[in-house]
Amino acid sequence: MSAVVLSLTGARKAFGADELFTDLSLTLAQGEHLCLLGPSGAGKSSLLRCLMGLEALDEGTLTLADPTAGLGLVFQDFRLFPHLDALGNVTLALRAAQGLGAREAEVRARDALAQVGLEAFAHKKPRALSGGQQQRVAIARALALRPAVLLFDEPTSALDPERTASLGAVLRALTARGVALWRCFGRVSSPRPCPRPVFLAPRPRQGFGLS
Amino acid sequence: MLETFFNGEVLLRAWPLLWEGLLLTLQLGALSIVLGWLGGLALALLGLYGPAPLRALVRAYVDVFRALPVLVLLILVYYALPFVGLSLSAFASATLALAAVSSAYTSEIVRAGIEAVPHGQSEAGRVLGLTFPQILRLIVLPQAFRLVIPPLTGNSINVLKDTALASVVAMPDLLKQATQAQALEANPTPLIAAAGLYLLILLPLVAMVRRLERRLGRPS
Repeated sequence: MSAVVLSLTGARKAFGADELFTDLSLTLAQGEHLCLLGPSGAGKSSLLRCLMGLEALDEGTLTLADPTAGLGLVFQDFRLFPHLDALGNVTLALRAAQGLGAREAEVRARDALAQVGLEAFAHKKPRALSGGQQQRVAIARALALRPAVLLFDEPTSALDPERTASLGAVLRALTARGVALWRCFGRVSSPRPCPRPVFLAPRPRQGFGLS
Repeated sequence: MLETFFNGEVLLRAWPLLWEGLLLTLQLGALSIVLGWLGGLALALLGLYGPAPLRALVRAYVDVFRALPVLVLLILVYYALPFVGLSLSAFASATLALAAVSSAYTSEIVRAGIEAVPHGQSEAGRVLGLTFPQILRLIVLPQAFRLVIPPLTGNSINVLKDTALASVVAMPDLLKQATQAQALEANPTPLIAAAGLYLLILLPLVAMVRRLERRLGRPS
């Protein structure tokens, strides 16, 4: 059993009288690959926003085993910075938030881009990249900050086979290196590969089942 | 006809004056434009992110200076301020009036540019651990500036054109020199030459705005 890197206990979020989720507890181990499934409106995106600190939980606590290795998020619409090339997207936070020098940041950014198979696209602007490539730049951008857990708000649109295959390879390499993955899907059928599916049923009434 | 409107001898004699006027016009224009940009950026940021009383003050400033005719403001600064002990030179008065009005317009342009950058971009910055000033400086403003280059250039053209109003407070700009030369020579050639010089400077800028707008209008 790998070490637990993240544990969420008793999480609750409500908008007014509308309760999105309540008493939600979950742990994630190193290198684990969790898929949170549920129809849209079940609160998955809201949960991700709470985990990332963009919104506050009404109740509950989030504990990280190593506070220096935080959470990374890959947005549903990627949200790459359109005025910067792929390398610039990845180095931005390394330099501004982590205070690395230009050269060190570039080395780390190129390494992150290589991990998602995009080292040859370092100087391409986001608009010159396909949807799948954009998502991988977003992964590299989050990955470069060396998070313990990478959260994904997965796109709802259908995946083309090429994209699914290349993404699958990238994700397997990440979990092999000990990064835990937490991916949210706006549907109830289990994607593949998905070693640990978890269902978040929409409120109100009867709660949601966690399996 | 040619003798009257395009008199070579008159032009040759008037040229040193016109040249001096042109340089002064360009100096006044450049200084007012740059001050207008800086003031407009500061006003836009204060109007968006400042404390509530300051935001209201910015709104009032922007409304007043967009409503006030530049010529009226210029005459107020030059002829009325001395009554409260503040005597500014013609050049300083013109710079102040032009920059005050330009900063009001610029702040509206910059505000619209900042608001046009999707909110998700700021959130992406927050998630990566950037501070608010960093998000503004590294993510929002660079994208906003791209959007506002055409309207900002258009506004700068207006400032450059409005420099001609400074001749009213006896500043020896291009127009003032031309009218003086015309009076001296009793011939309109210097005025025609001045108009030509204005066009020479401004037409390329107008064409540039058109090009920028076309490029920006294209879907990316």
